[in-house]
Amino acid sequence: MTTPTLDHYRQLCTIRRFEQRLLDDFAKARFRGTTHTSLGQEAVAVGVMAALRPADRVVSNHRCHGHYIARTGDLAGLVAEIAGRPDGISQGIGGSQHIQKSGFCSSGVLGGMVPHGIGLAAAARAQGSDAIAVCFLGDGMLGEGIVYEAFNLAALWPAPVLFVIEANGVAQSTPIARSLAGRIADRPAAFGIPTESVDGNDLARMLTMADRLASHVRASGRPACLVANTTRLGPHSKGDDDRDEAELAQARRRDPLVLARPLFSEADAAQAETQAADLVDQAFALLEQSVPPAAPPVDEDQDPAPRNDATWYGGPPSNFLAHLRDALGALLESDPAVLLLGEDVEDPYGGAFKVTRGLSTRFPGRVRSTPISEAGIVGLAGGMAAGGFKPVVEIMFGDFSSLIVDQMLNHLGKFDRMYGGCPSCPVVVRVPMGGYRGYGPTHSQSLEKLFLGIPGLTLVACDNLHDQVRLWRRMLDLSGPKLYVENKALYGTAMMPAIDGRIGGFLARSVPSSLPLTALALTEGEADAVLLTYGGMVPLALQAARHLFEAEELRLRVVVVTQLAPVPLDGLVDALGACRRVVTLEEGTRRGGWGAEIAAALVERLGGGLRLARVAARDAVIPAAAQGEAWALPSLERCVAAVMEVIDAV
Amino acid sequence: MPFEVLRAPHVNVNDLTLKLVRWAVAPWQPIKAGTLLCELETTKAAVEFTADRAGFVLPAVQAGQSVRVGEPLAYVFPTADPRQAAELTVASAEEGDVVVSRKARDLMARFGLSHADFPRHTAIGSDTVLAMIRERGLHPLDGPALTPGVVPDFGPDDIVLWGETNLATLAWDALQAGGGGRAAAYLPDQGGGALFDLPMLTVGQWDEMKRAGLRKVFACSAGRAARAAQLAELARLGLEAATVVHPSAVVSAAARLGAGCFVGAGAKIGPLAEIGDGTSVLAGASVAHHSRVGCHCAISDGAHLGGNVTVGDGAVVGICAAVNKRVTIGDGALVVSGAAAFDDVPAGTVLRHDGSLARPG
Repeated sequence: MTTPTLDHYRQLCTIRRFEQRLLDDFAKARFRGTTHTSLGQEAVAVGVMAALRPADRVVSNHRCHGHYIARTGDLAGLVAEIAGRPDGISQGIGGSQHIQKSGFCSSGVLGGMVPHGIGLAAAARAQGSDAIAVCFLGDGMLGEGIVYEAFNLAALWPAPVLFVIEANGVAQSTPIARSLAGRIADRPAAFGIPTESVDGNDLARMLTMADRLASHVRASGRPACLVANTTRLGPHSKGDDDRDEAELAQARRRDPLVLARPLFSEADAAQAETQAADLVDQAFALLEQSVPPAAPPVDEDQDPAPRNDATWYGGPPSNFLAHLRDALGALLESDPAVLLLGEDVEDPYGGAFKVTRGLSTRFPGRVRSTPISEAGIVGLAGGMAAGGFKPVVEIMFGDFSSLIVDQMLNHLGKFDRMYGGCPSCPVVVRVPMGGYRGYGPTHSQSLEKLFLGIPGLTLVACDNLHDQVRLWRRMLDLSGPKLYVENKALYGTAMMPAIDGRIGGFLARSVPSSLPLTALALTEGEADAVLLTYGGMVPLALQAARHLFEAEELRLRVVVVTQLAPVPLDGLVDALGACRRVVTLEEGTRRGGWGAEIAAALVERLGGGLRLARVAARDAVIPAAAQGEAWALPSLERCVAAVMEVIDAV
Repeated sequence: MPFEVLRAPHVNVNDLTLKLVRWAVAPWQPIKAGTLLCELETTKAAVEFTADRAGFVLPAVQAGQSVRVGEPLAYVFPTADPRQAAELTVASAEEGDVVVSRKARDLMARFGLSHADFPRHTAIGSDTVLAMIRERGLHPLDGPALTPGVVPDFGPDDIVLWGETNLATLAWDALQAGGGGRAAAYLPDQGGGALFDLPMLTVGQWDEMKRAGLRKVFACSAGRAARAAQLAELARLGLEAATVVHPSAVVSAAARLGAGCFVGAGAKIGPLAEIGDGTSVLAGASVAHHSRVGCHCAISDGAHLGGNVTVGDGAVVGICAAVNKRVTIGDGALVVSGAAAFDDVPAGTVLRHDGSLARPG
């Protein structure tokens, strides 16, 4: 049994004092927003942190102050953060729940951070470090499905993670008996994760058990779980505690500070308490000095770094699938930080669409098949990215990308911004979208619009005229996560090589933009209309241009976009030239889609005088039957009709 | 290029997708120009697709499948070597074919031009071809080196056709069939080509034509304003704006046709119907009793107007459109092909298939 030191007791008191002061000041309206205190759970934080080494990583949740103080002792940075000041640890952007400093991070979406911790641990282990990661969970968090994806991933990978479940008996306001079936310890154990339970309010036992499990994780490289039974003495948040007085009185009898105090002499304990109070008072006193506010970074509808080098395909005859496979191979070859993760991506299967076939054989250990856990994989990849890797994740069907929205929106897309300058998560998530293959309503969609409005996320579409190696290199130069939209119908389509400034019988012009942007026309000079499109719609757009010229002598300029969001507006305006008749063509449904965003952006920039039409899938389910699918998805007829409409040639 | 691509033809205006009904050839079968390859089906008819070159054929589309106009139907190889099929993975990379507009193709055929006359072009439009024709001084009616045709002597029934090629062709055909007159010369719009074997004249020759006995001119430039200007010009010149009626049309003795009208084959115009100046009622269209159609309108092929319908000046009723009895189509309105008008269509608006109204521009 490890004997607690006076320093441990001082930490308990510091956390307690800090959070009590916080609640007092919130009540006096000295802070705005919200906070979640860990009153009563201090011994868990102190016990676990005593077992960690400097290189270890800690992933916490909304109830994170105790963990942070026990890990760093940085009271000033924390109080400044909660006060929303730029000298806070997340520059005042994150606030109480979203803090990050030297290997510690927390976020307020329950469960979503757990796979991140696994990624951090896996990255450290892959780099030869013996560092481990600790993920703090609450018993209420066990209602979230992603936790079990994470348990499974941690056990299979395996990743050196210590899961600490702080079982305080209440999920916000609902007693755990009413929110959780079965026994807590059975859950990690079901995944083969060694699990121990401990009285989390007993500092000595906490120190002992945390040290034992952390050592086991470090030595084995495998996960373990510690269920720390504890008590929440305070409210869930600021004043929302409906538990009756008898229940609270019973909890207070198990107060970890009360239990620990007799281990020390009265004089020592009193001195530690005074020191803790002084530290907290000094930290809060810093708030008296004012500092100017800082603004978080913002996505503008423009290119931060336009580039004009042509990025057209110039390689040998190939279909898109083989070219993409070659491009991924080239990336793996040139950058050891690149990894490919996804369901069934290893040989001999090589992915549902065979994009990764052969790559796991060429790059053993760097191309890994995962469980069917879309959100978990992306979360893990985010952790590996934060740990120095450049993971590329394949989501088998783009339709399943709805399952990763929380990871892209609340996690990967936010880390570098809400933590105020933390390194970004350079994860690329590949999503094969699109129909025309008869796969039916949930395997034929183009859902990229779900990701159009996520600040910090770059939405990229590929096609069969841009060189994917160059596109990927440019894409990886941009910060933050990327969603890379492939199109299933494109896989079998031939790459169109650029020869002498011509692509597939069209005159091509590279428009300056941060990601490739190409204008194609059959003839020189002004266009009768401009068709803006991307991805799998490019062959249809070019077919429409040929048809309109052949039948009507109308000159359509096709502008192929690879950066869907943020909108590369400068490039689009450049590509429009003097033409003000614009048609957008996308395979996703029309309502609230890319075309709507483009139309709005163009009207805002160029004002009146624009004639706009959108061609998109009908706002309907995509039938599996061939006729129904053809009815639902964009067709040559509809492209031609839309162009005729903006030209007034109905 | 190791093989050539046979593409789905553009059979009619309304069908951009064709269905492949059956193949008449087996893969790798030797073919020559004229060999029947397959049957294609449009919404209107079945069409036979024949080869225009020799070689060994490999179908690109299976029977029963749909194919878009312009997409590969079959590949033709110089030898029957199935290994060549591997090349097909790059078939669409051969999309580098030069696109030639239909107008340009007609002009090129007429003037004996080929792709080789337009090197480095990705697309050939009629403007490109006309420029080449001017450059070579080939066209007698276009450009500074203009040589007008010889003005013939005109008889009392002779009519000069003046305007764009399509309607002029229809008028020529109606007159050939016995439509009350004889097409004696053609005066094309700017950039227009020859019409059968008619002498080609220009607007600089009006006086000469009048001296040669010309009295009637059928005006057929496209568009309301152009047609109105033509009729005004004819009035100024003291020439009659001829109305041409195909002999198979049924026009009531109690119907009134204005000046410069055209009534196509099989069209019907009911009793007490009135057709304004410069209006065309095209093949198979009908205008029922008591209906009044304004000036410079087009009642397109197969369109039907019920009794007591009113159509304002410059309106267009599209192919096979239907206008219910007593409905009013306003000035300059458009009823798109195949639409049905059960309610009035306000001036300047477009009635779409779904019954909704749009306002162009």
